Amino acid sequence: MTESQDQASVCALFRAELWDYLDADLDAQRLAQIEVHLEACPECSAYLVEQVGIELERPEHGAVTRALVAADPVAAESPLRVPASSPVLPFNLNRVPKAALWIAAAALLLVLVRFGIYPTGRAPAGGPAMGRVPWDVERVLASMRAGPFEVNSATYSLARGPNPAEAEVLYSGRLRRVSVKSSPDAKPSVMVDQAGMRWAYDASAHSLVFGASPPTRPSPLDGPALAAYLQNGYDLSYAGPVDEQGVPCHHLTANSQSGDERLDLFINTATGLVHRSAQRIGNEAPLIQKLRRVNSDLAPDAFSPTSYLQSGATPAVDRGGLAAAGLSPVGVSNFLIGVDDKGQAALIQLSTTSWPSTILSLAPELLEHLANSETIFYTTTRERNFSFVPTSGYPSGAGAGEWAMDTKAGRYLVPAEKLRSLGGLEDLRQLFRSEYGLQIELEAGLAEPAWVLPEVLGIGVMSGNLLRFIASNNDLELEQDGNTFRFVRP
Amino acid sequence: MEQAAETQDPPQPPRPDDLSSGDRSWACDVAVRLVGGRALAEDMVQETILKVMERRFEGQEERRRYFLRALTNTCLSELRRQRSEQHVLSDHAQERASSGEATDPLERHELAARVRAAVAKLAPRQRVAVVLKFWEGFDTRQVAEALGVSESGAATLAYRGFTRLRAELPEEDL
Repeated sequence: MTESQDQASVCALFRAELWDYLDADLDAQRLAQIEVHLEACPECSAYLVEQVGIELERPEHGAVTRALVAADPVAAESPLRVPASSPVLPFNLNRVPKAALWIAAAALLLVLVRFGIYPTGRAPAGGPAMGRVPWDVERVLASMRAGPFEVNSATYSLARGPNPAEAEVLYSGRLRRVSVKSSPDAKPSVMVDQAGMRWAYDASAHSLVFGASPPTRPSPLDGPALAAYLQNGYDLSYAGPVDEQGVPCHHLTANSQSGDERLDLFINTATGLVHRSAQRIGNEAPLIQKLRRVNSDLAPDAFSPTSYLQSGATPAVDRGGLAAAGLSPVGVSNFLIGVDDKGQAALIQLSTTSWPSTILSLAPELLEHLANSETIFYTTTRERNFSFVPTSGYPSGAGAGEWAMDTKAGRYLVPAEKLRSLGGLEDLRQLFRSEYGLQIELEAGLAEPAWVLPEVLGIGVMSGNLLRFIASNNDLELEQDGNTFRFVRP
Repeated sequence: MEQAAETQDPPQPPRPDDLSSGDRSWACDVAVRLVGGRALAEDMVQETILKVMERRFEGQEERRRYFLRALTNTCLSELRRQRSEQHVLSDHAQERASSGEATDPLERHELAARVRAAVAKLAPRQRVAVVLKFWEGFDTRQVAEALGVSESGAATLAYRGFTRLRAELPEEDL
């Protein structure tokens, strides 16, 4: 018998036993023999694939197949959207829970104060200091300047929600110190922009604008500035608590669009120490290498973006006006700081991945503090990302990121450029309808489009608990009809 | 009809270095189908992205293949972990299967819940093969790539998974 005849005979035997093999009705030894044959025989392998394909498409399996396809969990998911036929949300400035914005911002500031930034380096009464930064919140807030900023349509998404460590702290009833070791399983979160979001410099000397694109002017600082870095086509993404020791920290990443270079900044949330890693991806070293500690000579208490920049230990790219710092893993995901040529830090944006309701309910003492702050709350996606942006001095509604709000007037404003780029008001309505499942109407008599944030973006993303919280803090009642919420004066 | 399905381009995995929102959403959907709840799925995608970022690739095609493979492996690990802890049903499926409470019309459909529960009971690799084939619309070659097995191996896993599902779901109940 020739070799080819042998082979044919083996193949014939396999094909005779095909269904027994597929049904695993053979003994283990024979199953193993057939698997060996399949690996060596492309014809039989193709034959098996073909036969399985035919079998699975047989009409008698149709019912199972249809039931299987219909059970697709993704298709069954119900996004938080208001049906097109649902009633138009009421718009009434008198019913706007503006205080909720203050509350949210202030609560977050409490987190800041409590966990990292103390005006005089002291911890809140009864609370231990996790880290100290020698500049104060008020100065940072006061340093904010008006736009105009360029508007960027990019939004970003967030990969994950609060981790157990956050929950442990946030659900404890009070904000309190979290030991780094209490959150050993904190996983990193990564936020990736959709459309090439960029850092950019605004017209003032000191700040970077999150979400503005493209950079409108070069860095005011010396050296190979971040602006140049960005103009070469960098994307940005953010990751949550990670470092090479497994210690929770915050992580700022700038990836080149060409994919061959990337910059990482890691800020230890407990100590404030900054690690930096800049690496060309094309070399032989692994991308995530052991990070070089660039400011290990700084005591934790001495850390600040300013001291970091002044330490002289940082590469030039870090001197381009960017510093970033993170907080503890208790709700605040990160905060972003611009630094001017005098080393003055300015808070650009706070972001949190935790439900604001949780933070709010834990920090009532900040109700008092918020009265002197001008901070808006906004969100750019329906996912779990909430941002608090100081906006003092925004004169006309042009502001940080995609949208802005005139907090004094309590109006949510859409920059004219944005409106134009959308092709007009109807397009904007369509955007809100499609993005947030909300129908909106303008308040009569306004010269320009204006909405109140909680009733537009907010409702599309917030939990019912938060809305109830807002209502209860504003002597309002919350009516719910499906996914439609309505604030009503009792 | 079948011919049309044959000629249709199968879905392509995204490039992991440039995940747009749509790509990310796609990857999350795949992970939801594989492991259950969305929060867990997001973690899977997250881990996968980090894995992919640690590697070098010769080209985009290799990167795309690796991404899907890494995502599948990450989900497989999770499924095995769940299995070892005897949490065969994902939280997602378990909640819905046991509570009988539904949030939308399809969820209210008892059959859909039972099918998902049956899928969750499959051996991890069979589950991946079934999910990718029937929920993701992958062809055998793509399933094989995702699982890192031969095409015949992928077809075998899909067939055995499907057969087991049939046994769990008597036709008279369908």
